[in-house]
Amino acid sequence: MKHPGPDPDEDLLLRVGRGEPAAARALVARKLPRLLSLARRMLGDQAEAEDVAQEVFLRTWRQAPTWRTGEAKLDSWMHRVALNLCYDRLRRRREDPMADPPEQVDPGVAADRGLITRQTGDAVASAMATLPARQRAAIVLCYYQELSNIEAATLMEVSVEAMESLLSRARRALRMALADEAVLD
Amino acid sequence: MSEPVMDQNRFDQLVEAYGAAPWRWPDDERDAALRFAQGAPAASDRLAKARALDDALDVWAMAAASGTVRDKILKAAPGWRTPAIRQPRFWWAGAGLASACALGVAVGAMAAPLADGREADPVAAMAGQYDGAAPFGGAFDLGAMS
Repeated sequence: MKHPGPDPDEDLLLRVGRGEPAAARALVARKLPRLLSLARRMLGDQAEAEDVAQEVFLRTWRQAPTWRTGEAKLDSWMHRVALNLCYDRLRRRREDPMADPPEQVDPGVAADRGLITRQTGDAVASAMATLPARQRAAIVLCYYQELSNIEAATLMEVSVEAMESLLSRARRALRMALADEAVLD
Repeated sequence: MSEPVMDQNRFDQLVEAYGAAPWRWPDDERDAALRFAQGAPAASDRLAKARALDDALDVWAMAAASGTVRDKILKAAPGWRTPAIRQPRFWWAGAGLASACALGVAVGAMAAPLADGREADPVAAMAGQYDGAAPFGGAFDLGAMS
């Protein structure tokens, strides 16, 4: 996947590949919150999300010494790895219906919020959990990860038109679910 | 490059997919969509409806990364070195020295009654052998002292 313009993370990754601990620390500070948010929103489970984020970084560390510059943006590559790991886990859940259902509420955040805000956040989490995985991914990538429609479509290996369709269907379903919960009119 | 066509139908599609915030709209259609919104009365209703959903989605916040997962990731990074825990370097040498001292005291105590011809008191002999280094020098053969 070629990308236009310089990759803002490339220099950091090359330094990681040379074994510079400060570069690894900086890359983790820059990417971990984003990857954790992606996985958490896709899987609805903090522990699973941390496992995914850890695996993404392990693969990044392995790639760093031989990273080929100018081919893929690191951020896109990490997002793609994370998304595929999330899909794998969601697939395993479908195959194992006895698996523990994901938690819907994030206690670390909920404890600090007001009641109405907390109820809205919980309702959004529940509504997101009911979306088909690809619709959920479209919302997570475009809305929460703030990727452009082209970046998100490339990551999901669909056309921009197909991405728009996924987003529209997801937003319609979310609006209905949140209206049922009296969060929206 | 020609300006993309923007009409009510396309504007509705954009807002339905990307929400009410123009910065989320596709780069090549943003300006045309903004111009359309200024001149279309129906656009504000559409935007208000989309904004309500955007606001609800914004509320779903995530917890920060735990220090544990950050540490695990960093420990696996190329070239990462965990600061060494300082080990006492002369621990075994000290233990050996203490054992040797205890042995010396024991031998001396056993030899003393023979030297001055008096009867040995086993309890006093044991007390005299104790030098506080029991973990290293405490394995006496009490049978050998009687």
